[in-house]
Amino acid sequence: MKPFFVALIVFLNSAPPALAQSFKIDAHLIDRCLAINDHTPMACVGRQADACVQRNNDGPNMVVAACMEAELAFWDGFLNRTYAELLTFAEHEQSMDVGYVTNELTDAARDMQRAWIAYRDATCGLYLARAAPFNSAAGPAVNDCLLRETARQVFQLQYVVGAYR
Amino acid sequence: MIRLINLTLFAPLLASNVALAEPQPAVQELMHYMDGTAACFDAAMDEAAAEACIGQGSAVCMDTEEGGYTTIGMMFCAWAEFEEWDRLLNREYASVMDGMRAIDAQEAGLFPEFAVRAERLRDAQRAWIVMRDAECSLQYAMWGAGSMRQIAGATCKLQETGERTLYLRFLGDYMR
Repeated sequence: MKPFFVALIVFLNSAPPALAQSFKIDAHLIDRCLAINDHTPMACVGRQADACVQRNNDGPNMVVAACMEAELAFWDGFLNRTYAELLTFAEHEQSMDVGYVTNELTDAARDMQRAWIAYRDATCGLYLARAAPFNSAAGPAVNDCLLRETARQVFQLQYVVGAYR
Repeated sequence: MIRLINLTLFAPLLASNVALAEPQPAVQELMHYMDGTAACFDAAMDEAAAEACIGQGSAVCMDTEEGGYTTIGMMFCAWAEFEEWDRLLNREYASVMDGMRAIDAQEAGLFPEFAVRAERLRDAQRAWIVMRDAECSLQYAMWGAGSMRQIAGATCKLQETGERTLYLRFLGDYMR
């Protein structure tokens, strides 16, 4: 009896660990995609998350959501950098004193970004409501929305900075 | 109670657009350039095709009108096309809202706590209006006291409203 349990425990412990899953996203690949799709940058959004899902055997919804979250981290960082760039540009422009009210541009930029955050949350709240109830697709649905909205805002801010430079 | 909810779902959104319901005379005169916009939008099979409809009406307006390429001319042409997209947006919104209401109604019996799609759609649309206005205010402000702000502000509203109309129409494609 005893050796059987020992053997069982040894067997259980030596079983391959449940497929080591990696949800890493290669930011370099997104940069490379953006470089050759400068007129259709949305084509580069969600692609690395899809690749991640494929690497993980087209995993369940939880895996899909995790892959999207990994790519979302990239776009969040990108948005923060782009917003900082916009603020720097706005500060520079209004300091040139060409007919701006004090802090007009930086205030407008902050209002815009705050309104965008409320908009993003409300929009992705709609995705969540659509996925309910009792559906594990809620994770991918919401993350898909966050990915898309965050990337769109990056491109929008890039446009604003680019158009007035 | 249901009736009260229905009223509150409609009223706030209408109120935010009601001020724009009647375009000013200078814009009203240009509305005939936008006759093709709805047809273009309705005939478009996908988002890329529909995207191409944005900006067409105002371009024809600027080409045809005398002084169409002056600041005032461009601004009014852009405002006229904005009015048209705003009309189409309200149409798309009403149709998506009907769909959300229908699903909510099916679910209201068993899972009333999940029958919130219509409410969330309204919240999202309201937040979008605030976002669009803030976004276009920024683009307007970027030009300082320069007259280009008139064109930038009107074009921004036209573009954003057009894109939102597309977004609502193809909403199902985005949702998994």
